[in-house]
Amino acid sequence: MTSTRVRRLCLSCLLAVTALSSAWGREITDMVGRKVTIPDRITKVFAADPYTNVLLYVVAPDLSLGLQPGCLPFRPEDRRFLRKEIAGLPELATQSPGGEQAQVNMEEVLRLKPDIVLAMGAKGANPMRVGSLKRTEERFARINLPLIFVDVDAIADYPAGIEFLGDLLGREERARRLSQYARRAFAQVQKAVAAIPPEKRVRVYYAESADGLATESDRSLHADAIRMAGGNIVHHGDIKTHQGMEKVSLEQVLLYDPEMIISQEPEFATNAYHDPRWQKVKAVANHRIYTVPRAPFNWIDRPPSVMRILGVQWLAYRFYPNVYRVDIRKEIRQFCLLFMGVDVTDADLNEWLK
Amino acid sequence: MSVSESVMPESLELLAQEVHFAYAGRRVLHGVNLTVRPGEVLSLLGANGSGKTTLLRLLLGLSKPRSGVVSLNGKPLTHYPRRELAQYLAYVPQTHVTPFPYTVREIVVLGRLPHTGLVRSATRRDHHIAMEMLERMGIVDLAERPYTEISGGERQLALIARALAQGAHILIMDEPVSGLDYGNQIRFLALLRGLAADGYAIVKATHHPEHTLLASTRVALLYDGAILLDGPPAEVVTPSTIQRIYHVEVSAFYAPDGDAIAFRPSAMNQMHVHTLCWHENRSASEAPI
Amino acid sequence: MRRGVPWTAFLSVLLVVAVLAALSVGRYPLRVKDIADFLLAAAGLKQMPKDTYDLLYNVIVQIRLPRVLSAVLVGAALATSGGAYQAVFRNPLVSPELMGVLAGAAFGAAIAILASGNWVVVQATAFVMGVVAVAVAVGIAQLAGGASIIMLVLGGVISGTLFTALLSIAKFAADPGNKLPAIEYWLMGSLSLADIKVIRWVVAPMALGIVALTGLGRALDALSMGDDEARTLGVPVTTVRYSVIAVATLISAATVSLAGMIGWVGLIIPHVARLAIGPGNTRLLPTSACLGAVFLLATDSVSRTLYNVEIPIGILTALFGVPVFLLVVRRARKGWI
Repeated sequence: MTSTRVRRLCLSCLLAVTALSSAWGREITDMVGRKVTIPDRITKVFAADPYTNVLLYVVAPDLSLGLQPGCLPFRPEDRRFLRKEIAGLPELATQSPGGEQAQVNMEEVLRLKPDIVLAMGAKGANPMRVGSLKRTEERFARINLPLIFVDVDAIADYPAGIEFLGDLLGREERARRLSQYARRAFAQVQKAVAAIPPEKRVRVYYAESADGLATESDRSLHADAIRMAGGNIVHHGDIKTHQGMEKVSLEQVLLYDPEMIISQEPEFATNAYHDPRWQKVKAVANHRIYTVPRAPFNWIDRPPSVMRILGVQWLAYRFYPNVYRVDIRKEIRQFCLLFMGVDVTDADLNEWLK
Repeated sequence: MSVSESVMPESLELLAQEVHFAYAGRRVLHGVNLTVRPGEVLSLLGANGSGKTTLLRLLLGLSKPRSGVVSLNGKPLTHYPRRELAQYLAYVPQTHVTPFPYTVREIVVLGRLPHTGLVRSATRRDHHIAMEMLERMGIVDLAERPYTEISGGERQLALIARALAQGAHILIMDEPVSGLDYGNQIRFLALLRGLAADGYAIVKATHHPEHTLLASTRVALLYDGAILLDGPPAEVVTPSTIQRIYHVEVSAFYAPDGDAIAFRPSAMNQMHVHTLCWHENRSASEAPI
Repeated sequence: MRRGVPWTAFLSVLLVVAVLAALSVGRYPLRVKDIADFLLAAAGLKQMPKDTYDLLYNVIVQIRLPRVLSAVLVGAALATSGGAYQAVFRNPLVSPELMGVLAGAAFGAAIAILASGNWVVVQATAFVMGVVAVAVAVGIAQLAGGASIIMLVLGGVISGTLFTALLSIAKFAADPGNKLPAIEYWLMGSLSLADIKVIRWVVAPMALGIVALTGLGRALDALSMGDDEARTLGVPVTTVRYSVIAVATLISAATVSLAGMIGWVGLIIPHVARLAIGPGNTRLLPTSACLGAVFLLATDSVSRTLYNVEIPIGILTALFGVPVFLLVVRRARKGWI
């Protein structure tokens, strides 16, 4: 061999080795403390449950492989709030947070070849938490993809979670703006709520079904946003399952006598205002049933997602409009633009704030 | 029979003419002619598969013949509404068990259905008639007992009481003594004779040639879907006919006056074991015991 | 069997007492005096401040009464159709579920929840699919060769299995966050679903259905002897059989529409009634209706009063039903009394 050729060979070998090693990627520590090796460049991400689904959509929608069907808005009129880019993507089944139920099709995930998989995971020695981490790990170990746990269990965890994800995906700038907004919003809400003494907290009933008789207890994770916004949830009880939706009788609601009802199904408000049986409930008589908006994702629950950053503000506005003094219209506009990338119209705002 | 509606119609006649019946491609009955008149105990004697049950069902109107006609008083059965037919013809099945504990009286009162119709409740008169029939059968003290708790013989009597309560004069029975003990069998046959004497017409399918000698006024021999012979028991039920339809050899024992009174299988020790013959065409394979 | 007891009077009094008792219990604490005062005021015999009257009216008449009426209708309908089925199929162990009506209704409700979620749509679809499932069962029986009991049971089992599988598909397609809990919620059954408007719609047809089944009581007695015997007694067996199945199906499907799936009532109440009053269907069916109503009133009262969360009524009917059934089975060693 000529010396030129030898040099070229060595150079190509060197280049090959460097190229390979950079494809091997870097090592990071995820939010539960695991060390994971991920590729340098991430172009496709599979979000394995509703929490991370929406989080990914917010932080880096272009990297998302698709949305979980349960997150997607059911009514066509809410779909206009989805980003155009994501609208064409497939609906992908995922697992539930905590991994108990999984409809995710592993072969489908493999076929799509994501660079990493994101899943919800929280630190802690709580056996339920440890169990769900293990379950998820085992499930995704089968397809040998890097699995990264993101801790967005409680609403207050969002700023840190967003920033982590931003670092991970190379969207630090965007993540910083999002988390700054979140921190500011939380601070505002907490300040307002702190000013209300416990006995003056608004008595809220959370109605989840069309007949209004399915609800969550005060300690349920589904009612996180209501608690954070300073609502005093009237239904007390131990949480039976994560699924929630406990059934109560109308008499029980009457007994609770809530001042305000936060409802998930629009049908409930329409029916209850005309239903003679509900008239004795203060909230109904005073026309204080507020239906949770879904644009494009549910603002406070089902799934409990990063939308709650907005949801909490909306709730605080409903609960304590005199104390929570912000320009709520401006806040909603800003959130939707910043997080969702959509412009909302005045008509939309009127609808959500009526 | 003082309370029963109808006077014994002497002219009541059930007639089967040139009746053919086939089932699933198999010929079951062909060219059967049979007449049933009041005052008769007509026994249908035949081996398993000879068509006895089918003939009974045709006589009851439960099945329709392929050709030929079964008629009552000149009118084909199919021209009678079911309810009306039930007032002439009654079915006394082999005893069965119903899952529910109806009392004997409730069972017998059901016999009044053809008269009251489906929707009306049983009247007091209906209950009265039911009790009368039970008395006639000698089991009136069983009236309030659950049907499921009485003996086989008592059940059979209850079923006859029901048939009588229907007001029917033609009683059609399928092997009525098969579940009864020896004593009850004899008593039962005597009862049938008594009913015939009162003007009823009894048609019964039976497996017991000897019973026909005791109680029947007429015997029809059924062999392979056709009636071989039809006449008084003494003429029809003989060792040679028994051999023909049952393929067993018997000897007859005669009373002093010359009528056969009993049969005894002869030469049991040299008896060949035949496979059951369902068709006349199938040759019986023989194997020594 | 106890005869000579004035059953009609006893049962009527029992039903009235049960209704009044059910109206007086509930989460909202009312004293007996309040209720008595209310009744007097309603009759115009006593004065009461308007606010108090309105509140009592709201609780007793607007909230509790529809529920009580619903319990009476559903309990009566399920018990009667259970008794009728047991006679038609000559089997003390059958219940309205046999022909697939509950499986069909559950499937109907599930797809309606998936597609729309509107309650009227859900109720209507549940009813329609319940009837369809039985029609499928009868169709299968016809295909297999006729109206005999074995064929009908076969058809019912096939239809029930088919619709249960379809229900599982629907549940699988439902997302676990939203639709699936809604379906499970519906499947648990509850008497709170019916409001007075729906009750007004269904009370006449259901009452008529119960009366019709009772009217066929004697025919059912004959039918339980055996097809041939019934025919020779003048009963049009096939017509009666299909009519009873049709009517029993319609009222069972209506109960599912009113209150979701409630089991056990159709199975055990006829047995209790039979123990008391004997198997004659002209008395058994109305007695079952009355006892079914009382039973469901009792279980529903417990369901909505014991805790601040409602206990699903299907659980309670099973919990109360099992010991009752054991008692019946003990007595039944002598034959299905």
